[in-house]
Amino acid sequence: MECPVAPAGPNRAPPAPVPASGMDPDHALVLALRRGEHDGLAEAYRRHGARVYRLALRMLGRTPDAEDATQEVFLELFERARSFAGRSRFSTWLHRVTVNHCLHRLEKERLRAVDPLSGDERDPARGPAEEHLARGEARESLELLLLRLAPAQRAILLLREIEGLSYQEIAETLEIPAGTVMSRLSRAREDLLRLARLEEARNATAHGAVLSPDALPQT
Amino acid sequence: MKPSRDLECVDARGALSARLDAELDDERPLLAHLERCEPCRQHERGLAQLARGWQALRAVAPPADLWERIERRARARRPRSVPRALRVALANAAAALVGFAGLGLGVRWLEVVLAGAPRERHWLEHLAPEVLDRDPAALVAARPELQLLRTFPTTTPDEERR
Repeated sequence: MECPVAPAGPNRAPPAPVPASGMDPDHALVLALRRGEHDGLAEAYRRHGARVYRLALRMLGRTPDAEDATQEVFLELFERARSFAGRSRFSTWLHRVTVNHCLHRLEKERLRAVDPLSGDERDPARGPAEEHLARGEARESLELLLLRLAPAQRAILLLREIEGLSYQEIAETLEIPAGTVMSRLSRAREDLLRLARLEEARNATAHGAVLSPDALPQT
Repeated sequence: MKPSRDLECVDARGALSARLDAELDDERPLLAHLERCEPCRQHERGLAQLARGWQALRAVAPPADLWERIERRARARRPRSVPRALRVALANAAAALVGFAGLGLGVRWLEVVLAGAPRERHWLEHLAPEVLDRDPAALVAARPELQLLRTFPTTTPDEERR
């Protein structure tokens, strides 16, 4: 079945925050999914596939992992549509499923990396960012810095900066109080700047500068 | 966000972050703090530069064949018609029913034996003579294996010889 994904170009604006009230624009889609209709799944992918993939890629850092995670999220969506209670927007629920899937995946990967019996020969200190650098890939420095953040901080920054969610939507997605979103975002941005400062100090020329020396925080 | 009039640096950083997201109601305390705090002005410039970097990270698209892979796997599965928790509860209820039914049959059989059915009583005298004078329900509850006696022959060795 052909299922074109909504374009995701560099000029594509993040989705506008949805009002707290009113009909969910995905209401009919949810009904189709609850009936187990494959067309409903195709429509869900057409509307939200690019967003899920992008979020998974920025969370996990590796293309094959993002592809696999996207598949798992949509299959889970298809199987669990009946459990969607409708207390939040469908897109919010989908963001939550995606973030939780990625966090769970990263945690499993972390545990496997530190388990000497797991057979995983990857260096536990080497995440996707270090792997990109080791392969000499000229990635955006911000992308690499992001992958060095704690996964929970990465998630909240991505929901705001990449997906354009409002504080209220982030709170619903992560199931945290709305007041906590503001402090966590601020802390995540501070940590990201701190990492940028360390990175610039360590290697100012190897893979491009995110910040000019003048912009580096001194505290 | 409504920061106090006399901001500390940590509050100013929070206010800068909130302003970036258009979530700061009153920026006057922040501006006053920035006027006298160079580290926070540097923090502000750093946030502004990071903000320009996010745009490039939005420009990704999934591979063209990803939907085909999802669809193939979805068609190989059936959506769950009943939530997992409900299915577990139903399975437990069914197991309990089977258990109770088995217990009931065992009790009924013992009642028949103890009422004087000679063939079954003969086997019971050999296998568990201590149970003959006790309450059938308590016996089966204590020794569910007694239900297996129903599978034994219903004739006594004496009858076979005849």
